[in-house]
Amino acid sequence: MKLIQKRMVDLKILLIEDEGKIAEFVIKGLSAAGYDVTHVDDGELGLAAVLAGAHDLVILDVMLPKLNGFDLLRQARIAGMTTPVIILSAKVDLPDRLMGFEMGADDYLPKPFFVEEMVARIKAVMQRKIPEQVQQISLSHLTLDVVSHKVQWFDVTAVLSQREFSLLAFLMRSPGHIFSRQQILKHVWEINFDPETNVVDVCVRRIKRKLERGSNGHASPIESVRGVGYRLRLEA
Amino acid sequence: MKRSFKARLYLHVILIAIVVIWANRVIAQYFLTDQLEARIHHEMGVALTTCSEHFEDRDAFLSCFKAIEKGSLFSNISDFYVLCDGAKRAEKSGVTPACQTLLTNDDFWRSDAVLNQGQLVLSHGLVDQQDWYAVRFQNRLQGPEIWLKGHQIDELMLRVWALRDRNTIYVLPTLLGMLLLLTLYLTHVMLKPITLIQNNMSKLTANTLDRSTILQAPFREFEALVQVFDDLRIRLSDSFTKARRFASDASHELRTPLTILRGNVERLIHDLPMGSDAQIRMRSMSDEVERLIEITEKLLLLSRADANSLMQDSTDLNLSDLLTQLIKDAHSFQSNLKITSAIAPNVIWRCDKTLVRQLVQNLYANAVHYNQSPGWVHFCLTQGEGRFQLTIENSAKDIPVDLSERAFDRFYRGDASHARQVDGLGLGLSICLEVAKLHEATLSLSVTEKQTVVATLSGPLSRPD
Repeated sequence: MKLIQKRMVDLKILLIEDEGKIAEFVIKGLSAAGYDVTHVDDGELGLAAVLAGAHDLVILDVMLPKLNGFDLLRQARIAGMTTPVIILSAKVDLPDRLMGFEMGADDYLPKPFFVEEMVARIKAVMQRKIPEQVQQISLSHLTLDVVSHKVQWFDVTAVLSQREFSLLAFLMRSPGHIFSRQQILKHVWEINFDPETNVVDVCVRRIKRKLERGSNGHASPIESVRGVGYRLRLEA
Repeated sequence: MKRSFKARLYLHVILIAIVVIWANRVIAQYFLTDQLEARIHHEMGVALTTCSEHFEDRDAFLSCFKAIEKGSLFSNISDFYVLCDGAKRAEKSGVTPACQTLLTNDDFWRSDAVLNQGQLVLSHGLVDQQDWYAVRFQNRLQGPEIWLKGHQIDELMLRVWALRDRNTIYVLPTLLGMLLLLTLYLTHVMLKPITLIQNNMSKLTANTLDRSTILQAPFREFEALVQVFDDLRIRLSDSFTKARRFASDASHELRTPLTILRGNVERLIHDLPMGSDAQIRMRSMSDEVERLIEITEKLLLLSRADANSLMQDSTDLNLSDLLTQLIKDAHSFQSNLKITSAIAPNVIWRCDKTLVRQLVQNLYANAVHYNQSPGWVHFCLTQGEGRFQLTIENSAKDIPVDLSERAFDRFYRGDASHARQVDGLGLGLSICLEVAKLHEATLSLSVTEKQTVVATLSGPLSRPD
C-alpha cells in the first residue's frame, strides 16, 4: 500500500481545460495532493501533449477550442495512446457519458465536482491500472482494512460498522479537507436531501470513541471544526 | 358528448329528400295540369272531327270515340261530354236546356279561344259561374260542339294525384333506406382519407416528430390539409429541439460557473484559519452553493423531462434492497419517528437506479418533513400480477385541503406557514412524477380518513428474459 501511495504522489497529470478559473483551482487542489500537473488550454495543444506521452494520466474537458475533447481522445486512441483518461464535462446526459466511454475514457467526472472527488477518481483509475488488489488504506498511524472493516490507530484495533467504515474511508481519501455534514451525508449515506438528523455527529462520535479507547492519549485522527464540519488531520 | 357527424349527415339527407319530394310534387302538378288540359282539348277535338256523324245518337257517338281513344285516360270522362248541335242555335225547340245556355254564350268563345289545326276552335272559361271546356269547328254553321265541365277534369286529376301520393307512401321508405345506404357509403368514402391522416398523425410522438416522411396525403385534395398539419409538426419539432438544446446549453453554462464557485469556496475553507469566523461563514456560503447546485440539477432534470429528453440508463434494481437500506438509515436518522415496514423480498424493477433512488428518497423526505412529532412512517412494498406497489404512509398534521390535487405542482409547498420551516423547493414530488412517468409507473398522493398521507407508486415488474 505504501508503494502505491508513493507512486500515486509521483504521478504526472496533464490537464486539458480551457476555462482558466477551473484549471486554477484544479491545479491548486491536485498540487496540494502531491501531483505534478501540466496545463494546456486548447484541443490541438492538448493532442500534441497527449501524444508526446510524458504523462501518467490525462484530465480532459469536452468543450475545448480548436478540437473537442471527444475527437481529441479518439485521435489519441487511434494513434495508440494508452494513458488513462478522465473526462471532465458539464454534459451529464447519458448519451454524452456513453460517448465518452466509447471514445476510450476511463472515467467521466461531471461538473460541478469537488477536487477531492477528482483525486479519488484519479486514485481509482490508477489502481485499476496496477493489478494489485488494494486491501488496506493507510495514512501514517491510521490503517483501514477494506475487507474486514478493521481499523488500527497506533495500538488500538477496532471493527467499524458499514457506515462508520464508509465515513472514515471517505475522510481518508482527502486528508486535511473539511467536509460539511451535508457533504458527508451525500457521499456516505448517498442521500441528497436534508433528513433533519444528527446521524453524522453520532457516527463520528462512535468512531472517535472506538479509536480513543486505550490509545495512550493519542487523540482521534478525526477533527471537528466548529461550524464547518469534519476532517482527517494531516498529521494523523 | 360531442354530436355525431354521421347522424348530422343522415338528418340533412332526410330533410333534403323531403324537400326534393315536396318540390317535385308541386312543380309536377303545375306542369302536368297544363299538359292534361291540352290533352283533354285534343281528345275533345278528335271526338268532334271523327265521330260527328253520330252526334244525334249519344250512345253511338261515345262508342265511336271510345273505339278510337282506347285506353286513353280521358275516355273515362267522355260520358260527361255535353253534345250540342250548333246548327240548331236559332231554334228554340229540340235543343236541350243545357245546350240552350251554352250555345248562346258568345263571350265564352271570345275570352280564351285557340284555333287548332286550322279548323277547330278550343276554349276554356266560365259560363253561368261554372268552369267549362269546349271545342267546335271554326265554321260555326257546321254545328256540333262538345262541352265538358271543368270540375269533371279536376275530379279525375284529384284521383290521379291521390294515386300518385299513395304510391309515394309505399315507395318512400325504400327511397329513404336507399338514400341512407348511399349516405353511409359516401360518408365512409369521404371519411376514409381523414381516418388515414388521423392514423398517420396518431403515430407521431415527441420522439418521432422530426421524421418528415410520416405525414402523407392519401389524395390530391387533402394535400393542403396535410400541409397545414405538417407545418404544425415542423414547428412543434423545432420547439422540442429548442427546448432540448436549452436544457443541454443551460446545463453547460450553469455547471461551469458553479464548478468554479464550489472549487474556490472549498479551497478558501481549507486555506482559512481553522475554526475562524471567516471559515464558518465560508462554510455557510458553501452550503448555499450546494443548494444552488441542487436547485440547478432539479430544474435541469425537469426541463429535460418537459423536452422529453430525459434518458434512462436501465438496469434491474432490487427495490426491496434499496428500501431496506433506506429504512435502516431512517431508523438512525429520526428518533422521534416510529418507522415500520412490510417489504416483500426481491421486487425487481427495470429502471434507472439514480433516478429511482432520487424518487424514493424524495417520497421519504416528504413523509419526514411534513410529519408531526412524535409521528410515524410506514413503508409497504407488495408485488403481484406483473406489477409492484410501494406505499409510504405517514402521520401528518394540518394537511392542506388541496394536497391531493396540487401536491405534484411545481413549487407547491403546502401550507405557507408550515412550509417556511421546511427546507425545500416544492420540486421533489414533481420530479418523482416525471421519473415515474418515464418508467411507465403511476404515482399518486392521497389523504386518508384518519388524516394520514399516503404516497402510492405502482410500476411494472422486470420480466426475466
